[in-house]
Amino acid sequence: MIMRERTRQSKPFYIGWMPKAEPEYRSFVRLVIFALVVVIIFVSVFLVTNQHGFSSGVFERSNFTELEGMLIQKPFPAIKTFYGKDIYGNPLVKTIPLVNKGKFGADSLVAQMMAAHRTAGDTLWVNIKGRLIYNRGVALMELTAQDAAMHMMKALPDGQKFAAPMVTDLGTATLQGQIVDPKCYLGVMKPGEGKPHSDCAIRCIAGGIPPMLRIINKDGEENLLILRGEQGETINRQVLKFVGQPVTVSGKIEQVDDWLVMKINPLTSIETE
Amino acid sequence: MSASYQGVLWNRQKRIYDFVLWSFIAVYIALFAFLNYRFDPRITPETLFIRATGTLALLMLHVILSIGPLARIDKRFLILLYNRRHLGVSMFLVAGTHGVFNLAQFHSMGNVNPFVSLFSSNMHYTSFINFPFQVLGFFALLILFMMAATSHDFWLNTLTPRLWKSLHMLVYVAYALVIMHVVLGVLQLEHEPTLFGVLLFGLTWVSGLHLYAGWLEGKRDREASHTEGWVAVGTSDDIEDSRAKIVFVGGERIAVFRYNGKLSAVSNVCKHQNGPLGEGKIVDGCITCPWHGYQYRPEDGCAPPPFKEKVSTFKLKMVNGIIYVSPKPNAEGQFEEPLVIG
Ligand code: FES
Repeated sequence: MIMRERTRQSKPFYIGWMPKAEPEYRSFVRLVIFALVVVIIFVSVFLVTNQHGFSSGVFERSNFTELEGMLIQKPFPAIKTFYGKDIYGNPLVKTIPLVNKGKFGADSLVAQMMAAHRTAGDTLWVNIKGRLIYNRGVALMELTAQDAAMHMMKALPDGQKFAAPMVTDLGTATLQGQIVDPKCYLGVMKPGEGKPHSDCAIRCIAGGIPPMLRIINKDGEENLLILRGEQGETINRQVLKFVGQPVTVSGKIEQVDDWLVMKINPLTSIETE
Repeated sequence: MSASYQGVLWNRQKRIYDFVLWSFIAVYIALFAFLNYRFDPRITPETLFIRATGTLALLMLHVILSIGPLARIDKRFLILLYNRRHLGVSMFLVAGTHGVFNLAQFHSMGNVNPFVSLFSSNMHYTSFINFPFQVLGFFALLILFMMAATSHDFWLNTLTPRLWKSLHMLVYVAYALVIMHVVLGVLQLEHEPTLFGVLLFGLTWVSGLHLYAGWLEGKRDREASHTEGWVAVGTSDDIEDSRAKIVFVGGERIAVFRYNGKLSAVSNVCKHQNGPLGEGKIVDGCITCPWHGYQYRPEDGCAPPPFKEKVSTFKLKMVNGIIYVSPKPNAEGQFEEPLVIG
C-alpha cells in the first residue's frame, strides 16, 4: 500500500516482483493484448489463404485393400491386375507399383516373395494386401505388412496368357519436369514435391522407391514417367542430386502396359535449369 | 537478486503472464487449424502441425525481438520485458516441436539415421537457391535451445553476465538463420509475393525498431552536455524525485538519482542483465532496476544483504546550482557521500 501511495505521485513504475501493476500499466497491457489478438487473427488468415492449396491425393492410412493379380519385378515391383477385356478381347490391365513401409522401395521384398514361392518359370499369381495411395487415376500400394502382405493364389486361366507386358516404343523426347518420389507425391505427404519436401524425396528414392519424372503440360494435365537406366536398370542413386528441382530430361520413352517408362543415361540426360 | 538459487519463483504476475501466453499459443494453433480445414481440407495433419508451429514460432520470435526496443522507446513496455524469458522458452518449445515433427516426417523411417539424413540428403551446400534449408533451421534451434537452457539466473551468474549476454545476443543469429530457413525452404514452393512481403515486413519492423531505439538513446546521450573533467548534469530540478537522469560520459552511462533531498550517481548498467538502472526508481530507499527489479543502495551501489551485486558509484559536486559528475568511476560498491541539495 505504501508503495502504491508513493508511486502514484509520479509516472507509474512497474517492478516484476510487485504483486500488482499500476492501473495505468494494466490498461496498457490490455491494449497490447488486444493488439496481439488482432495480429494473430490477421497473420493466421493471411498465411492460410496465401498457401497454394494441396493435392487431392489420398493415402488410405487406416484402410487395407486386397488386390489379386500377377506379381512382377520388372520394370518395377508391381502387381498387375486385370479388370475386364476391351472390345478385341484383350485384357484391361492396371499395374499398381508396390512400395515398402517408410521410405523404402519393394525391390528386395518382392524378390524374396518371388524366390520363396516361384514354381519354375511360372508367373506368380497372388493376393496382396496393403494401403493404397492414389491421385487422379494413378495408384501405388504400400506393403505395410511386408512379408505377410502376400498370399499365393491359383492363377486365373487366361491371366497367364498376358504375363508378358505390352511394350510400345514411343520414341525419344526431352521433357521438363521434376523428379519426385511417387509415394509421397501421390498422397502420403502434402506438399510431396518441391524444395520443402526434397530431403524426404531424396530419402525415399535412396531407399529404393522408383524415381519418377512429373511433367505438366500446358493445359495443366500431369503425367508421371518412371525413370530407368538405358538398359532398364535402377538409377536411384544417380538421380538423387536432381530430386525436387526443375529439370530437363532426355531419353527414350516406352509404354509398358499402362505405365510410361523413360530410359535415360543419368550422367548425361538430366540438366538443371 | 538471488544469493542462493531456487527454482523459478512463481508470483501472481508470472502466472498471469504464462496463462495469457499459452492461451495465445492455443488460440493461434486452433485458429490456424480451423482456417486450414475451411480453406483446403486436403491438408495432411502433419503438414498442418508443421506449418502451425513454424509460423507461430516465427511470430513469437518477432514479438520477443520487439520487446527490447519497444521498452526503450516507451517505458510501459517494460511490463512485457520482465517475463520475456518465459516467452523465449515457450517459443523454443514451439519451434522445437516444429523441428521434431519435421525430423520425424522427412527424415525418419529411411535407410539412414534421421540426423545423418538431415545433413546429407540435400548436398547442395555450395548452391544458394538449393541450399539445405533444414540445416539452417537446425542451427537456429540449437541456439534457441542453448538460450532456453541457460535462461535461469543460476546460469547468468555461473557464466558471468557478460558471457551470458553474449550468448543471448545469438538470438539475432538465430533470427537470421530462421529468415533464410523460410526463404530457402517453404517459400521456394509457396512463392507468393505476398508471403515474401509479410516476411520482409517483419524483418523491417524488427530492424526498424532497433535502429529507432538506438537513435533515440544516442540523441539523449548527445544532449547530455559535458565539459573537460567534470560533466554537467543539469540542475536538481531537472530530476524528478526518486528518479534519475542519465548522462553519457566517456563511453559510459551514469545514472544520477535524486531522493530525500540528496543526489547520488551510479553506473547505469545493472549487474543482472545490463538493464538501465537510470530508468528505474528508488523504492524503499534502493535504486530498483526497471527490468527485473534488482536493487542497489544509491550511496554505495551495493545490493542490500543478503544479495551481493555491486555497481560503481561516481563523485558529484554542485557549482552555482549546476550538478557535475566526475567521469572517473569509484570502485564497485565504494561508499560516496550523497550530495545534499542546498
Ligand atoms: S537487468 Fe535484470 S534486474 Fe536489472
